[in-house]
Order: sequence, then structure tokens, then C-alpha cells
Amino acid sequence: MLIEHEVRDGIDIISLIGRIDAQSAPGVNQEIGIVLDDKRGKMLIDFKELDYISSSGLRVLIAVSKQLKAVRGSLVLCNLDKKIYEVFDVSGFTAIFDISTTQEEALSMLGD
Amino acid sequence: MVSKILVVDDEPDFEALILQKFRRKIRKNDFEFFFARNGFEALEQLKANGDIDMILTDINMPQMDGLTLLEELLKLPCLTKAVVVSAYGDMDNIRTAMNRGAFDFITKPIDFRDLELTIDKTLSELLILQKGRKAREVLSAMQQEMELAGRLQQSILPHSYPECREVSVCAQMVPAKDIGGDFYDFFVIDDDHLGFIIADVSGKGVTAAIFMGVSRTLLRFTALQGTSVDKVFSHVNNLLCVDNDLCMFVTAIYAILNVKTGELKYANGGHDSPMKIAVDGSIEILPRTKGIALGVMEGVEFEAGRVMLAPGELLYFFTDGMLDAENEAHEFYEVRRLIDFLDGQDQLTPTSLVKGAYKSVTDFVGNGPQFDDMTQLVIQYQPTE
Repeated sequence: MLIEHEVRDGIDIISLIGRIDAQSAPGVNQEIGIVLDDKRGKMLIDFKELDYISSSGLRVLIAVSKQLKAVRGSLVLCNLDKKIYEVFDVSGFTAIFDISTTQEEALSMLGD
Repeated sequence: MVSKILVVDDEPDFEALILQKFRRKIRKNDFEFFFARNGFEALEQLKANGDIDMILTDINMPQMDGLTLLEELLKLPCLTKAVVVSAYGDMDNIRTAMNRGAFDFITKPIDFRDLELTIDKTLSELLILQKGRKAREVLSAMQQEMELAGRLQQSILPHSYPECREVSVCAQMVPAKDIGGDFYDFFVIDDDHLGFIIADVSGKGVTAAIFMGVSRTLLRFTALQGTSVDKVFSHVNNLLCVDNDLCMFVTAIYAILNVKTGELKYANGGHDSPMKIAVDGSIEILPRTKGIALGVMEGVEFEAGRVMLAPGELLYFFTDGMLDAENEAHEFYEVRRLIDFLDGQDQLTPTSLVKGAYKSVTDFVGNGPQFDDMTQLVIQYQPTE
């Protein structure tokens, strides 16, 4: 599991690479937590290179979303492949996360 | 903490010399010395003081020499380290001593600065060994505790199936670790209604197991009040959202079967839809109804779905641990393989489906590890009239 982070126009862009399962989830939580500490309040999480996400990973994303909501920030997810979108869909999380197809679209959602 | 050192030498003056050279360490309570004149006496001392940390032993002594003492020491369960004192250049004896487990050696005439360094080095090595042993003991106690917790968890899942002539049930929960976050439940609500639950808590291990215990209790307690499936879920969801700082959640299906009519009402909290298997073997995935995983968002509304079970029809509930089972080529079992399995069955009974599907998944996985809990619950409607 790898995480890449860059800041573009005041937006944190996080790229998840590999698999988020019970083992790697705590590390992901910690790394995103460090980014959240900078309080930019706008975050995009790119799933382009994510192969797998388990419920432990979903739990981390819910925690991130709640922290951002608490400071009136926003979170957009993008580039979910079919299988990962299905995981979100089955659990009902497509209703609680803003999900866009491309990074450009996600950035424009966050830019407004 | 004081380090206990046993000095074994037949030379009477040696005792006085040691006590004199290490007097400061003795006064500061760093070292405590014990003395023996030969191997026998040394073994006696070891028996009397089981917590001796290290032995400094001469080689040539009457009754039992140092090399024999080393051999005897290997048979004892203690971690005690031995340093031998040999004549200068006596390589044969030094090699023998080392091969019998001596930690180090020094030569005569003794250089006391060197001896002190050797003692310090030996004691710090011993400390590492002692810490390692302690850690292994703690780990083994924790493993036993986990195993017990796993047995407790299995024992709170229902094992005797409801005494209801109209329905037969089979269920199984196989955790990936000792304890898991999946569960199933079934209970009699009243003369006409049976309740069924299958659920999967986020994560695995201890945290998931605790949340599983809470979720199961809340769901069963609320369900037994006799309210509708959707109301049960919205109520339990709100309860689980309170103080949920770790953002734990549980996906679940709750179904109520009217055993007189075959009408089944269900609510879906972000869980994989169950499948209905008709008597001719055809499979129908129950339509998704509105709802999300429980514990995520307060105030969420759930929708009740409705399906009729004809006599002989089955409902197959499962958790995603079945679908996400991975083989050595990193392929997932996926819902299509599960459907293929269910589709090809001649014998349609809850027990045969639970056993068969579990075998189908484990055969597919082969030697790969089990990553997630795998749970199934199967019911068959068999009205008597």
C-alpha cells in the first residue's frame, strides 16, 4: 500500500496505490490524518491505482469524511473502478460520499 | 535490579579477591556473589538460588570440573549464562566449553577490567533473552485469551435451530482469525413470525468482535419488540451512531418470515442481497431496498422489501468474505462463482448448501490464506399443509 500526496490550488490530492485491507488501513488512516492536520479543508482521493478496499478501508474513509464535515470542509472521491464502485454501492456509501469519474471533474467540484 | 553471579573455583583465595575487586558494585547493590568450590556445589547453589543470572567457572576442579558443569547446565530450564576461566592458550578446553554452551571465556591470570567488561556484556545479553522469554509468555497468554474469546463468540451464535416445523435452517460462521466480526441470528418473534439476521462488522479481530457483540444484542433486542424490519434498522442505526468515534459500522440484512403465508419482509443495511432459490433450482437475487450500513449516519431511513416464498423455496444469505475469498492467482471467488455453485445443485437443503458452498470457496482458494470472515445462513420454507 502506497499513498501519494500533493497540494494543488489549496486542495489536498491523495492517491491510493495498492490494497487497503485490515493490515494497511491503520497506516492509511495515519497518513491522511497528517494531511488533515494542515486544515486545508478540501480533499480529493484518487482511486485510480487502488486494487482493493476492504471494510477496514471504508471505515477510514468515513472517519476522514466526518472530520472534514466537522470543519465544513469537503471530500470528493474519483476514479473508482467497477469493482470498487460496487463495494461502495452495496454498502450504501454512494449516498454519503461525493464520487466523480475523473480527477478534473473532482477538482472542479472542490474548486467551487 | 541486583545481578546474581555464581563464582565456581577451588582456589580459596579467589573468593576474597572477587569480593575485594567488586566491592563498589556489591555495595551499590549491582552485584551479589555466590561461591562454590566445584561443579557439584555449583549445582546445589543453583538449586537453592533459582534466579542466578550468570556463572563464572574454573575448568579444573575436584569432584566435578567446569566442562561437566556446563553439560549439566544445559539440562536446566534456566537462562543462566556461563563464562569459563581457562589457562592462557588452553584452546582445547576453551573450544569444548564453547561447544557446551559457554557464553564467553577469560584467561588466567585474570585481568579484572576485562572480567568486569565480560560480566557486563554477559548480563546485557541475558537481559535480552529474559525480555524475549517474557514477551513469548505474554504472547502465548494472549493467544490463549483470543482462542477463548473465539469460543465464547461461537457459543453466543445460535446453534439449535428454532423449533418450527415450517422452516429448516442451517448457518455457519468461519472467522478469518480466532475471533471475527460476522454473525448470524434467528429467533421466534411470535407464533407466526421468525426473524433472521446476517451481518458483517467493518474490520476484523478484537475491535470487530466487540462491535459485533454490541450490534447483535441491539438488533435482537429491538427485533424481539415485534416492530417492522425497516423500523428495527433505523432504531438500531441511531443507537450505533452515538459515540461511534472509531467510525465502526455493520452491514446487515434483517428478514421476518410469516411461516403461515410464506411472506418475507426484509431490510437491507448495505449488505449483499440474499438469493432466493426456487424448487426448480432457479436463482433470483432479491431486489435492493433503500438503506446503508448501520452506524454511519444518524437518521437514515430504511425501506422494507417483500418477497413470497413458495413451499420448498430457499433463501441464501451470505457475507462478502465468501465473494472476496482470493486464490493464489489473486482472483476473487465473486458472486458469479457462488451463483454457478448454487445453480448446479441437485440437493436443495440448507445443510447441503452451507456445506457445499463453503467447500466450493475453500477449494477455489486452495492453499491461500483466509482474509475475511465467511458466514452463511440458509432457510427453507416447508409449510406442513
